[in-house]
Amino acid sequence: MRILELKQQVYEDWYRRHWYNQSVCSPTDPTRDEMFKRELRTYGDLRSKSTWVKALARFSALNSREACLDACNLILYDFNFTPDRWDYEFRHQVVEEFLMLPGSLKLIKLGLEQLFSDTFTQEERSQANGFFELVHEHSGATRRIATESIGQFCLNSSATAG
Amino acid sequence: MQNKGGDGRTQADSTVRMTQKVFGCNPEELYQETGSRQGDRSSLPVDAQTAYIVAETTATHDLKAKEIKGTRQERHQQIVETVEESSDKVKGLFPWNW
Repeated sequence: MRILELKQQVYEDWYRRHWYNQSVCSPTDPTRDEMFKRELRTYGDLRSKSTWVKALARFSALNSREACLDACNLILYDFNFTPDRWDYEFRHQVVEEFLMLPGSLKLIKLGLEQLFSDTFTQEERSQANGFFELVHEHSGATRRIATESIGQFCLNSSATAG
Repeated sequence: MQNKGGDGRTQADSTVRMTQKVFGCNPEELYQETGSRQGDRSSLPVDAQTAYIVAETTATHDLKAKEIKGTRQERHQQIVETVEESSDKVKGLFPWNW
């Protein structure tokens, strides 16, 4: 993704945080851009792409957490990263950031329990392939504890669901 | 929502808009304030579960009836606005909004 597009997406996810929390941040507020830049600087040098990626991962993770009504939607939508998604290249950072939020691993596990319950058909479960591919990639490459336990849970749940 | 061209952020934005209209807060806050288990709507008070059913049914009906078109961003905007308008229609049904 080009840096200009990334910056725009980061800005949108930052703005999203404000209206998710119903904090006052009018589109016409002249200080809004300054507020945004001030917050971005806490992630690093604005000239560096990695700063924007860190911010995207953080905002995206927080937004997913605050918007979570049904845990299964984290698997089916939020973290169902398919190659056609604009944020596909940042998928690992986004999920890692989410898993660092307190209680997030439990939310993912709840989502998997819901997905492998009788409520969903096998066809519907297969729509979450992007998530399962991500766990598979992560477990193999870095063997981080959180994704390892998610991977094990996926194996156990799919065996139970048959 | 997927059939109308929405993505993960469309789902999240729509859920937050609906929850804000019907309950005055976002989903995480709703779970916290009711002492319920986030991610498991069956743990919410029954009235809240009912309110979501009513709001989601109305939004689904309105989305099916509406032609959604344009770029990814335009479709996202139309879907979220439709869900918001649908939620506006039904929020007065619930006693905590009287």
